[in-house]
Amino acid sequence: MEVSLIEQLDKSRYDFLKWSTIGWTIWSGTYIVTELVNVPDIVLTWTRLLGWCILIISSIRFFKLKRELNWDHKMKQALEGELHIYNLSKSFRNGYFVVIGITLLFFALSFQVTISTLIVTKTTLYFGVLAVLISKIIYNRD
Amino acid sequence: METTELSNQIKIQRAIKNITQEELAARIGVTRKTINTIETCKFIPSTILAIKLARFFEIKVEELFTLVEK
Repeated sequence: MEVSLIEQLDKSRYDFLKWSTIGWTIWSGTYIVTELVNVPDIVLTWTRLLGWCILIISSIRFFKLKRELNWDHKMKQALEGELHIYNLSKSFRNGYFVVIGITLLFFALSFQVTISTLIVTKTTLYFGVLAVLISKIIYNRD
Repeated sequence: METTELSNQIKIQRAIKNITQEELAARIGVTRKTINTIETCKFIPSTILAIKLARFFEIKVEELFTLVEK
């Protein structure tokens, strides 16, 4: 198996994760910010567009990588090996705990103030996904 | 209370064979990170991977991986 190709693909996957996190933070973050402060529409539209572009570009890269991997079964096995699966499950576990934590926080807050369902959903989804992505980036580092 | 930890001889065996983590990873069919995390005891490999490594170094699994009481 070619040494440098595995490392290149591994780096591509790491870059995809990094850019997806940035894209998600920007794009989805705008939906939470608008619930808290008043942002001019033009700023909001451009920020969302920027987030979308980053997400789309990183998704195209990801599908390209997936297609390359499908051609080479050995490479796929190497890249999606047990360490990758182990780190992925740890990342999802972290995301799960973040979601539970935020839900509990909102539950406690709901005794004091009225909170809209939409902001609870947006915040939970935002931080849950972010926790999974950031965890995977951290675990993927050397 | 006593705890048991898994230690390994991968770094030593690599030095004997004079190969890098990257080369070993390619020979076994994993990423360099997998070898690195096993070598530094951050990740415990599956039995399959442990056997593959032991076979590559031509030693027994229990010689490559040992339990250390602490």
